[in-house]
Amino acid sequence: MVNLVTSDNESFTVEKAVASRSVLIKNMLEDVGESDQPIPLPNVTASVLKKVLEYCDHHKNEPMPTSEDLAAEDTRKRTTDIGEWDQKFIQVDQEMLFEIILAANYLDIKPLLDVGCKTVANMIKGKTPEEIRKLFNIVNDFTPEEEAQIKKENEWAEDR
Amino acid sequence: MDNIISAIVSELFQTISEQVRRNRQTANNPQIPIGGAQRLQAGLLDLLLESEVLMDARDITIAATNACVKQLIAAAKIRYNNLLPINRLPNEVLAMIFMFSACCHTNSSYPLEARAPLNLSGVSKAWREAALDTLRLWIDIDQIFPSPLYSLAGRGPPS
Repeated sequence: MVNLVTSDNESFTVEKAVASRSVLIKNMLEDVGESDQPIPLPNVTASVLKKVLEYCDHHKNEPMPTSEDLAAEDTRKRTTDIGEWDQKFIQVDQEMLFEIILAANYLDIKPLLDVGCKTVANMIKGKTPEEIRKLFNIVNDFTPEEEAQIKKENEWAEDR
Repeated sequence: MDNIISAIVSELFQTISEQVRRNRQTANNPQIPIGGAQRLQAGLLDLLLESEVLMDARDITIAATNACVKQLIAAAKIRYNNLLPINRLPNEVLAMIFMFSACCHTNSSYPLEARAPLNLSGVSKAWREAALDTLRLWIDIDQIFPSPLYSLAGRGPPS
């Protein structure tokens, strides 16, 4: 078993197979060897780690992505399809969604990072800049000069 | 609050008026001594010049205040955007999201302004910078502008 300690000092004891879905933790365990020492995760809070571990537990028996898979990723066409269980798992509020993405990036859990990024991508797909701003409460911070430049670029694109 | 603002604006206006007056005096010819009848005319002229000074100072004050407020509002908008949950994501993660949103031939079926990466680069300064830095987004031109051949065949480019 592995003991993980979050930024808000909560301890989670999980199976090694679950914790090792994170490449960061897997490498730490390999470096430290057999040890009871808790692993500190200063960038992850308990509520987020709980969700991340739920994902890792569900996928613990699946093969880890190989370096060939990751290298081939850029050359193959990406899709934004998400498995049924993952879709349900990632139905969280925006704040939690971005926290999960940040945690997956920090813990180096590529499949979870993909699920998070695909979810956000599906939210913005086919939306205008104004609709995207509304979705994430972003304010338009362009100067009138920059707005004019963007308008010009779009006019050029329309002429193609 | 009104009293404080009034005092600040008044002091600012006074300083600008004095500066405008000094600039005008430097530009004018030296004063020639004048007598009796001409003095009244000179007094009227002085009042006319003074009202011109005040109008100039008013225009400068308004322009300077507008420019300053514009800068402060722009900076506040950028700070606000930077604190949003989505903008806490590092640029490489934002780039991944952008790449996924631009994938598949469906992208080219959206109206132009809703088509990645054009829609992404029009959201905010930070998104524009991230989109322009993600060169791979702009390489696959077929995803943005489908070939007329695909349109004729009634389908998008192979995905």
